[in-house]
Amino acid sequence: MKKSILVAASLIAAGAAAAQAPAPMAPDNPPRPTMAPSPSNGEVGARPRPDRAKGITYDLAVEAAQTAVAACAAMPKSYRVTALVTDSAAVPIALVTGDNGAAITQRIAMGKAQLVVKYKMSSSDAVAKAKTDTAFVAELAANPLIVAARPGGLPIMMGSDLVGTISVSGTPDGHDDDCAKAGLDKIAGKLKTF
Amino acid sequence: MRNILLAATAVLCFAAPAFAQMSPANPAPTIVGPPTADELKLPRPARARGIPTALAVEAATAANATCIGNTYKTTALITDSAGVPIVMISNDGAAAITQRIAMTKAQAVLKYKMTSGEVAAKAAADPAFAAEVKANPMIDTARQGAVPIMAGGELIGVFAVSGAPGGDKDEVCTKAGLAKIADRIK
Repeated sequence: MKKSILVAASLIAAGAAAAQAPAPMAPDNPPRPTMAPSPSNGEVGARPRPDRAKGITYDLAVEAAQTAVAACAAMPKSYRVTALVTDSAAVPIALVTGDNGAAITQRIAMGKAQLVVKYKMSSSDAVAKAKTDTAFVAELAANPLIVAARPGGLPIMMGSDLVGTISVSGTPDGHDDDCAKAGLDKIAGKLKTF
Repeated sequence: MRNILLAATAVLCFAAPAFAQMSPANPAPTIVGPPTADELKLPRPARARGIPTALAVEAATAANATCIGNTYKTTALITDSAGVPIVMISNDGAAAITQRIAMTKAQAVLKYKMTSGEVAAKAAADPAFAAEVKANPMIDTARQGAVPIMAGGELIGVFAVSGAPGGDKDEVCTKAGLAKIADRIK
């Protein structure tokens, strides 16, 4: 009797210790949320709401994102990706995930967009820079919105003006850039901003 | 009452840093930061049930078109049955915060299996329920404008709109978007 109580007590103690340990990043279903937690009532009620930074119009954003998703799906391995078009402050305009694209691709795409906006370069250029520039790598790692340079994020330019980004995530073997480029090419001749 | 205060304090502490950083040039991020290298190595779970992407784009676009027709710059969000976005589209110039508000509406629908307007009505009549909602950082406050996407009696997704001056006006657009695809949802 005493022994079983002791066993039970130590099990509970072990359970408590496990509960205090940092929660393992669950191989998770549901996955870690893509979207940020709710804004406070103060934020929601604040007026005026800040204006959006410059960006391309949403019809073009949707067209580019859908084209990028379709380009990846049409490749021999039919990749299921997320395409994200943002404004010039990295705020999303259109987020489109192909059927059954992994949830985490949305967050990866967002990181690429943040990088493009912050450093005014494609994320592939940032990957190249990171290869020889350890200070740059450390700076990216210290930024929770970027973490690391990964290819697949492109600036949307009008002349010398960055008006947005298009990012793709979800190909495991380096085709994110190709799909983003396909999306960008589709709208390149008709860019207009809000 | 004490619980409500505690929960409210927790939520305020949580939200305050983002609020402090907010500015037109640096809005609080809608989408959380990218995964670390370790997180990237984890298995990628299959997606929960949801509607096809093509239908989601069509419905979200229709909802936004309805709202902009009423001069409201909105965000339309469609998630799968686990609350993972399939499509999110903002009307030109829609405030960044509408994306995060749309997500909280979607979370309310997902958790309580009713429209977010019904969650709000229940919270208004039931303080214990209101405290529970408040304590959930993904919801915080229930606001009308999101509805479940149903197929065969099962919730297979959520459709949320934010940006109109009032949740009832958001819900008009949600319902218009849903009506556009209703007969093709499987």
